[in-house]
Amino acid sequence: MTVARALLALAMMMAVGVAIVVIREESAKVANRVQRLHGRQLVYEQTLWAREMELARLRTPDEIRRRAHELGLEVVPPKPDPNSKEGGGGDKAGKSRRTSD
Amino acid sequence: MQSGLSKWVGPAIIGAAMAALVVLGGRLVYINAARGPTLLAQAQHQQRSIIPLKHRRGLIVDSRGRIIAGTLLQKSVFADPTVLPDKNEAAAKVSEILGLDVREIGEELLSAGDRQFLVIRRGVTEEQADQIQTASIYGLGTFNEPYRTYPMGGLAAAVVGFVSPDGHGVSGLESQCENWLAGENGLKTIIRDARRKAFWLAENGYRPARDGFHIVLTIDAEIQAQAERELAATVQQYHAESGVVIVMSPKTGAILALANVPSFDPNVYQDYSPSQYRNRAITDPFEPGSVFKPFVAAGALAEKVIHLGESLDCESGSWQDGARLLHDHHPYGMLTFEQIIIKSSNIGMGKIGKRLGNERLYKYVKAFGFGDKTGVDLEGEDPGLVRPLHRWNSFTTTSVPMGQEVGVTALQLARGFSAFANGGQLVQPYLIRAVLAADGRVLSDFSDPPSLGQAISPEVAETMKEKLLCPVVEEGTGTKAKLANYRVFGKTGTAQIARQGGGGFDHNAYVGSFVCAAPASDPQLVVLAMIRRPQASIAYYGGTVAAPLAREVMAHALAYLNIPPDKTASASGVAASTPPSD
Repeated sequence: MTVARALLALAMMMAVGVAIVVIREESAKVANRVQRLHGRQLVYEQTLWAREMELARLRTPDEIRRRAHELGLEVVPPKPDPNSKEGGGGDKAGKSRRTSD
Repeated sequence: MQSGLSKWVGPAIIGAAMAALVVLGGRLVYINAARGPTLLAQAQHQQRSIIPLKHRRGLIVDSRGRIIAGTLLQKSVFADPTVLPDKNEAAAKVSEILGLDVREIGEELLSAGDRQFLVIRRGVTEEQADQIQTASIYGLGTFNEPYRTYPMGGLAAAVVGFVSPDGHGVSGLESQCENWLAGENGLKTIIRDARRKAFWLAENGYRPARDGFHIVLTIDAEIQAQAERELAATVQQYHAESGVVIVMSPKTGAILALANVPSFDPNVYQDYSPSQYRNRAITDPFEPGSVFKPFVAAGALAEKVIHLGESLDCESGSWQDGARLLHDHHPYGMLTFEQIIIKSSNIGMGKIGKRLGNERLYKYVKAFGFGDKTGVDLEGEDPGLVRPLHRWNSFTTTSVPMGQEVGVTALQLARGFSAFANGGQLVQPYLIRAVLAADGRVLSDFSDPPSLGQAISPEVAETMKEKLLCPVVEEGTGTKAKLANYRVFGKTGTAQIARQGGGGFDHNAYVGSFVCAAPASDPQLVVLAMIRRPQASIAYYGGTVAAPLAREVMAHALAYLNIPPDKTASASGVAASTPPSD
């Protein structure tokens, strides 16, 4: 083998090595980005849970009564319309005056 | 022509390079083959961390989707003892911020060994978490972890139950539905740099958490809240030991409210005595007294041993039947069958019981579901007490019609009474309406349970409702349950509490109860109110302590559900000033 060919072989091996390093760097960057995005996803989930629970707390019947009282309102169940054909237990929504939901 | 020396330079260089490569290659092979596994394990230990991804426990929501039990995240403090530069300094800082004993923290850190994740304290405040972060101690940090919270406080606490600190259900639906509510933690494997900073998600190192399923109840939070408010006020007013209110749909068996007093706040369950966790509506059977009379009366009608309008002699309030002496609270002479129920005559019912006989009495007691569990989807249900027929005697014949010698739970009573409101059917009470996946898909729908058969015929049920039970409220012992816009039918009960261990009854110890349904034209709701051990010097009759409570709960629920009234105010009449007692 001549010197030139040896040097060429060395150069090719170095190029392969550099290529490996570059690819590894790129994959590390991508993995790092995935890791950060996952962290953000967890943060958004946490925020969503906290908001859900705060909403749940505000929808508590006692909390609604308290706020109505603060606003000077009375929580009075609606008087059902005698002419209404609706009825039934448990699943019917009330009229607009209903303040408990 | 090249000199002899220069001729060998090229090959020598190449040879040296090749030899170096061979040596390097050999070293590479040696490292991989001989020390590879050890080095790999060491690298993974240094670089990789497996972090659990906490799942979210399923929600428990009411019939309108309001969250009764949910999950929040709390800040917790952790340490990585393997990288803490100075464990004592870290312990001192943590102790200062969190107010913990510095020696305890120090010992924990020193004895942690090669654990890389040690939880120092759970549930710290945001301020404390910020201070930990600001302290910037390498190896010390905060993380979020889920914990169970009950935003409605103690609402339906005995039904919902609570979880242990490690997140597993301990009582109520939290325990019973553990398999649905509990999810599965996931995990992720991260690669850390030399400064322990996570920078890389390892390949195939991610498994997402599976969140738990959600439970939708039949409970309506507003009706439940009102029932609890009214019940608490009544228990306090009469200085009672405890109370129960049940609101259910007689047609479907759906339970809209199940209130207990005393109760507890599941957010701080450890501050309450375990006896307060009990769901008395299903765990505590009692001798019901007069509220049991309609079930026997229905059997008598069905067997045609008595008919409407037929009169019986109620012996002026005292009747010797063999070895037994029966009393009425008021002396009555001749009463019709209807009046025996309206005025709640024990003697009248005793005579009806004798006409039925033990065998038929037993048949109808069982037909209404007494002596067996209702099958409600709650743990700890008591079947009550109905002795086997062969143990019934002549005393039983006159006791059972008065609601003695039987033990019933509040839920059994409400379920049995529902038969008068739905054409005689025995319904299956239930609390869980549906199970939803984490993304909202319906996994199971329990909203249409099958009927358990006819307790009595529709005709007998209708007769009982219109001819006997409506008049109880209109003019009898239950006038305090009358509503202006709705026809209510029901029955009061006042029962003495048997002494523990037998031998008669406790002095001045009563259970006052009232069960009713409305509107009579098309009953949509059954309400049962039961007050245990009200202070007798104040009041104890069911018509006095329980009927007004049931009225308030019923009035609120009917209006809230927008159920149209079935009578005008002008037709409501005047409440009796002194209602007959039972």
